Amino acid sequence: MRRLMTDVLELPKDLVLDLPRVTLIGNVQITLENHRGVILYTDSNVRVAVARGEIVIAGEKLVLRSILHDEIIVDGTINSVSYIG
Amino acid sequence: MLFERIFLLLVGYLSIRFQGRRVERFINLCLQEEIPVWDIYTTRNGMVVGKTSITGFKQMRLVARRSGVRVRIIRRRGLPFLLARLWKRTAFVCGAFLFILSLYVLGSIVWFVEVKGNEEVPTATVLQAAAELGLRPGVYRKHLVPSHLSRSLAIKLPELSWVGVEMKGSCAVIEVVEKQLVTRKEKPFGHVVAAKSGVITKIVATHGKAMVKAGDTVEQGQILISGAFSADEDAEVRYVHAEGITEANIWYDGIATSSKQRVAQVRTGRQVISEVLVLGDKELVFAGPAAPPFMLYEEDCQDLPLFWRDIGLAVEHRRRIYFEVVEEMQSVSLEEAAAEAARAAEELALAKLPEAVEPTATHFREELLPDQNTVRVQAIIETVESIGEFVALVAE
Repeated sequence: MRRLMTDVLELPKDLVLDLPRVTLIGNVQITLENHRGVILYTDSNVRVAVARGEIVIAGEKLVLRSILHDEIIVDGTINSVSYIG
Repeated sequence: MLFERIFLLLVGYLSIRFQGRRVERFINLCLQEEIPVWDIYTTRNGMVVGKTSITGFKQMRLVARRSGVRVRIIRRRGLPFLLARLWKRTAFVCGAFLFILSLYVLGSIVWFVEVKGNEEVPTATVLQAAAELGLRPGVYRKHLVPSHLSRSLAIKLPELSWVGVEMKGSCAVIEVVEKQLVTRKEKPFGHVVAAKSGVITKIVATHGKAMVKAGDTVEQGQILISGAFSADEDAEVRYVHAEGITEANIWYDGIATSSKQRVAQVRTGRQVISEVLVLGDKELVFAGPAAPPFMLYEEDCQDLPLFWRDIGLAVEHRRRIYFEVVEEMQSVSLEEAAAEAARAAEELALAKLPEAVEPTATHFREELLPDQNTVRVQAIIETVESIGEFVALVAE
């Protein structure tokens, strides 16, 4: 229902539907906005909880560069980003 | 980015190490409590390290307990830690404090007093007056009020029309504007005499008494406006500095002659060119004859400087053209000869005119000489000029 409205009226989905926004820069940096906390952190695997599921970032030497209330920036060598929900 | 890092270094931050099982819970709790934490990564040994602020660390200890994580400080970076270390060095701290104190004290004392803008009044006078009012080297700046000083100084030194006192750091600058005393130069007594002979066209005496009137013929040296006169026959003689407008008609003449029959030099058309190199005084002929082959000749010299890539050489190339000339009897009419003479005479007369004076009229007088051949013409140019010249009276 809400999906339809955002489509037709072209409203920003991440605001209306409370979805996360993932910005991946090459395989070097990933910015995750609108998250609900860190589930798992190791240097090869980072799991972040989001509205309807979780986002898994797999790679090497992952560093949580900055954790803010609504934004997480992960640096390192990123091999894959997946959404599990 | 860079600013952030500088800011962090200023404020100070800590590198810490978390050890425990539920690192993620710890991170989430930090997030909730709004404890800033960043640069979290796993080291080669398997430790999880990160950075946080000093206040953040203190808040973290409670949170750590709740999530079962032990937090340890690895490194302290930032200005607050440096200061803390410095603080322990008493001598350094005392020195720094004394330094700042002496800077402040020395800066609030007037060290130099300068005077600007004075030409007649000596600087020492101004400085002394200022010192009497309280402005001298060694005085506290706080005790001086520049506006009061300006007014007092102006009052104290009447030769100054305006005084400005300005504090430039430790230097007091007194700017001074002096009163312009207008002195009336005494004009000497004397007459206005004629510098040249002529006929007066206009005479107006602004000071003194006119001795001639328009139409009078005056000679050089004659008094035109007198500076010594008396109102009456018997009254005392008064002396003034004579002044006025004196204009007169002046004549300039020039005489020239010309003949009806005369010998003239005419070019035949034959010419010989000789090229010469000139080195200083010496001439070296390298083409053409050294001496002209004609009996009578006219010479035309052309100097061609030699250049080598824009630089003039010391050697000059001179070209001499010799024109063969014969003498011929030329016969012209009387009118032509007269005209020639008239032209020459006029030029001579014009040459005598002073600068910027225009002739008002030109007359010619022709005269045929007794030999019936030569004509003499006199050109007379009339002008109107101001002929007055001031001559001071010599005291007797």
